[in-house]
Amino acid sequence: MLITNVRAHHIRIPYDAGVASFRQGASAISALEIVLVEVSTDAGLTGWGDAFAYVCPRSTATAIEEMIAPQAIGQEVPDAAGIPAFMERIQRNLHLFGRYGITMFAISGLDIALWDLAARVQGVPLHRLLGPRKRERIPAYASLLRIGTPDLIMGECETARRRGYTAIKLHETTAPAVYAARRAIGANIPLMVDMNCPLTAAQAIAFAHEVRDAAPLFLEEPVWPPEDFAALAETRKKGGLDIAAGENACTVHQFRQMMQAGAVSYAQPSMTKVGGITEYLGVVALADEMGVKLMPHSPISGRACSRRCNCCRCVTTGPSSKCST
Amino acid sequence: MFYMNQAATLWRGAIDVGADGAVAVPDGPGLGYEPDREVMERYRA
Repeated sequence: MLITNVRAHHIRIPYDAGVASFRQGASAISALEIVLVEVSTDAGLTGWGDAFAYVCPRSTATAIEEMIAPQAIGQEVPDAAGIPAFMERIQRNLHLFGRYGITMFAISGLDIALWDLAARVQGVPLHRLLGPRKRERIPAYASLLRIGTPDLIMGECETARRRGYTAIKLHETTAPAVYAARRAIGANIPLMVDMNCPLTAAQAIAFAHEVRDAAPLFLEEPVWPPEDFAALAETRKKGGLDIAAGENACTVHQFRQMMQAGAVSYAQPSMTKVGGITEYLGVVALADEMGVKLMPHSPISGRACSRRCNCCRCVTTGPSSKCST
Repeated sequence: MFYMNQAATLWRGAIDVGADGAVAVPDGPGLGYEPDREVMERYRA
């Protein structure tokens, strides 16, 4: 079976987040930017993947069509065992153009589509290729966008709880925000705090001490820059809270550096960024080896949720991780 | 899951969070479902 085409589809779906807002630097994000990767074959089967794309959808789509498609069109569709070698060839061919960022987002989209295809060829769910299923449903948490005002945060937390969510994640950087959420959800609901890389290690350690009584499950990406694993490790050691990171890391190689530095209690590979399911599975194995918990990350399309449901070890090996963003 | 109301979903509700705060593991082949072509066309950029 041959790959006959690789096409990128840019989809833009508006959303309403109520009192919350979603920004990336100067960019206000008013819609979910999704880039789907469609891999067609001469047998009529189609594989679907997606590539990280918010703020950069046209760049990601162009990378797929300009850099990725020529690497795959005309090639034999690999089976599951053959995908890692297939993708390593593409990673090697494209290493000049950046191991992290847009290139790896595009590689991720193709990789996911190839895994989809490999399972479709056999007529089985993808998770069947990875191991026995251990659960039928995966708990999800509500990932609240930035709100800022404690009273409004409390209201959103209460609403999320009424809708069934059993855990909450904030995107906040102040102690009053964290304590407001804790007051709203009570003592027994996991609360996570995603900071998006604003602080020095010293500031992050001070913040960890400040919010410690609110008992966050972890602080996510508290320091700038995200690849300063020594600063993360220092924060984890001296702050007294667990640390999560990884949405900005690519490939198992960077996760190895992160874990060897002792930077994280929770690793957060994002399948649309890390290099797809192949690299994700490498991170899973590494996390098991290093005794690091896994909290997979996928923010936008929800497609990644299916991948988690299919791929993450919470299905195939059944730890305590939640379906997360 | 991002806590927001989307104008549409590409996945026909298959990944919606239920009243128990959980998401079902897909049973279909591959990733479990395909994107809704009508939604793709309506929201194609």
